[in-house]
Amino acid sequence: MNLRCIGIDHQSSSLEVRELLAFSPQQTAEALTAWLGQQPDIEAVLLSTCNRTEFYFASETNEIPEIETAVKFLFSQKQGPEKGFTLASHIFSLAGLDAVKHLFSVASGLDSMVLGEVQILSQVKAAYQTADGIGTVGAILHTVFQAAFNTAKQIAAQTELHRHRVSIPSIAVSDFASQIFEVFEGKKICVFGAGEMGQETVRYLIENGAKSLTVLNRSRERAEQLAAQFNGRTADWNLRFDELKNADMLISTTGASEPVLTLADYRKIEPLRNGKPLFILDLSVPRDIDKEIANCSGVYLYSIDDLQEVCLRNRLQRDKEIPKAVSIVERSADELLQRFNHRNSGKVIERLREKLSQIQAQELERLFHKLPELSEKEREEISYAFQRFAGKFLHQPLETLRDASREETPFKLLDALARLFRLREF
Amino acid sequence: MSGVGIVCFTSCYLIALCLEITRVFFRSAIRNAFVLLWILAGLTAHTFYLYYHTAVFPEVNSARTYFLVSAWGLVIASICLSHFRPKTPFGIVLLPLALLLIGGAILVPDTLNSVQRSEFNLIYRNIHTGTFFLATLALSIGFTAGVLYLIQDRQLRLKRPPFSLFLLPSLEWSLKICRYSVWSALFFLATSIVFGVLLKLNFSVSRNVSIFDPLVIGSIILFIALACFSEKLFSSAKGKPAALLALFIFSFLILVLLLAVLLNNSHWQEVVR
Repeated sequence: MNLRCIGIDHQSSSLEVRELLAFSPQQTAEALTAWLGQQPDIEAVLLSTCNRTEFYFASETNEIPEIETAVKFLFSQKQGPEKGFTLASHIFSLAGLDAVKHLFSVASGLDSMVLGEVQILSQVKAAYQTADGIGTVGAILHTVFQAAFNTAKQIAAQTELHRHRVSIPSIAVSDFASQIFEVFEGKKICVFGAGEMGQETVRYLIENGAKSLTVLNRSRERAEQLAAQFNGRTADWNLRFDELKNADMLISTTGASEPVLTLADYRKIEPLRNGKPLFILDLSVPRDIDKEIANCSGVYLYSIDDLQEVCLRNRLQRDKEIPKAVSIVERSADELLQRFNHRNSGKVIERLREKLSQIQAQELERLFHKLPELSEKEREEISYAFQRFAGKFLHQPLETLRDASREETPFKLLDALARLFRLREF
Repeated sequence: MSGVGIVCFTSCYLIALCLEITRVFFRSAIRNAFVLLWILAGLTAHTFYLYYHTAVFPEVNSARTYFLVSAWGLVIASICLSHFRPKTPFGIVLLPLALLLIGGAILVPDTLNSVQRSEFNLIYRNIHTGTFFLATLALSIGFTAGVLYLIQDRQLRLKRPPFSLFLLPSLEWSLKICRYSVWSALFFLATSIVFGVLLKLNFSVSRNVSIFDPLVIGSIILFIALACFSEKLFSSAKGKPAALLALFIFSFLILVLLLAVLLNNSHWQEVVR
């Protein structure tokens, strides 16, 4: 298969290096347009995300640019060839079946920094669509990318790779908060402190429909910054217990050395809450929230340790799924390769059959012309015998060709056949 | 179709239940379709059975018919709920309840009466029995929501992530269903009691139904319990006591029905005479 892939990813290079070769959607489109101008017969797709920049190129003929040509092109598009060569050591390159397997692994999240992440599939789809729109996608890349999407879908359906979340905020929101609340819209979220993990959790909640956010922090300025980021409001730190009376969720990420909410404090608020459930996320170390509060009615308290435990368990669960996912990738890549090989062989076989049937037709015509006294039935019998002869004659060589095509395209055999029978270029 | 027997639809529901239970063990992309197929097959047979074997369907005119119609309603409820939340195994709770009711129907003798009735009597009787059937249905759904609430609550208290093979509804959703179910049951039960009293007062045909009849006493106690506790519990946002109430009330209803069956209660026949 004439497919190659070059690129850099989070495994081969650091963020600083990846930044040098990162393409924005517009730059991607410009680069592919330039490629189309330089190599109109070579198909290409450029995938650029924060963790990788990969350039796939392929050709239906034997002629395909060398890896160096593609590397030079990529650097010239981004930062000029001189500077580019300093990055050359970070570039990886793959060809044929390895490139296919790599793409399948990338699309299904197996090659992602966060194993099994799902966003990568939509990024691969977007890269394919951009290339398709520009006109650099042909029969090979179309088939390979469609197969990659199908493989990703199969892995999602047949394994649990995507089902176990592995980041603290996503576990907090998707595995716990959403088991308590049906919808987040209309729920009051209180944030104590302005820690980074708290921000991430709030972002998750906002993405899932939460709207009402109140930030309380000892430094009012930082509270206002966070509130402004998510369209929320701020309240004075000393009014935190009042805010809790109506809150549905509390996310605490202060750097306090003592709990900012003790059991005694909560007991005072509890009767005013009328039994309303309260989801508390204590993301601080040391704890912000007295752990005894977890025993109060309607309170669901989770500390960073609780979430990390789930996180670890989920990571292990995901790891267990890797062999299953890898075997799907292997199987799909092999199937695709066989399809390609058969397609290449198929063209030669088709032409060989065409040629034989032409000869057959000519010879039958000559024979029937010389023997006009033959009845219709006799003519039919003779035609049938010719067909059987051609079929039997071709059977063994075609079987050999098919067997050889299982592993790779048997270019030598095909070439020999084409030469021996003077078939057109395949 | 008149040859359809209880075994036909019971078997279909049993197969559907077994398929539902497999959710706990493995994932399958086609299971939901098969479960629906078996439930629909059972429901069709069940409907034909009710039509051909309970002379005046949909009138609820004997203990057996009451049990069978209630089971039929539960199966429909199971289909509806599963349609809205396909990943939640409602069938695991609702189908056993439906099978329990079918079991009850098998245990009680079929003592259908073909006594002539006035049209007015018939309307009163149908409202009386129909609303009791709806109350049973509402309480069964409340029971299901209550069970799912308690399982989810336990999962969250133990800080366990959601089950990977099926999804439990959120506490908020389960509580909402619990509330609606209990309120609906309260309304239906009240209507049933009122029409039962009217039947007793206005029609000499129901004179043999005593106030000490287990079904009458049970319904009144149920109504009082629902009225007293639900107002108090549901005015607050507390979830667990509400779920426990739904479970308790449903269990009490089952107890009342069991008593009515075991004591070979004449209530069912009396209201149709």
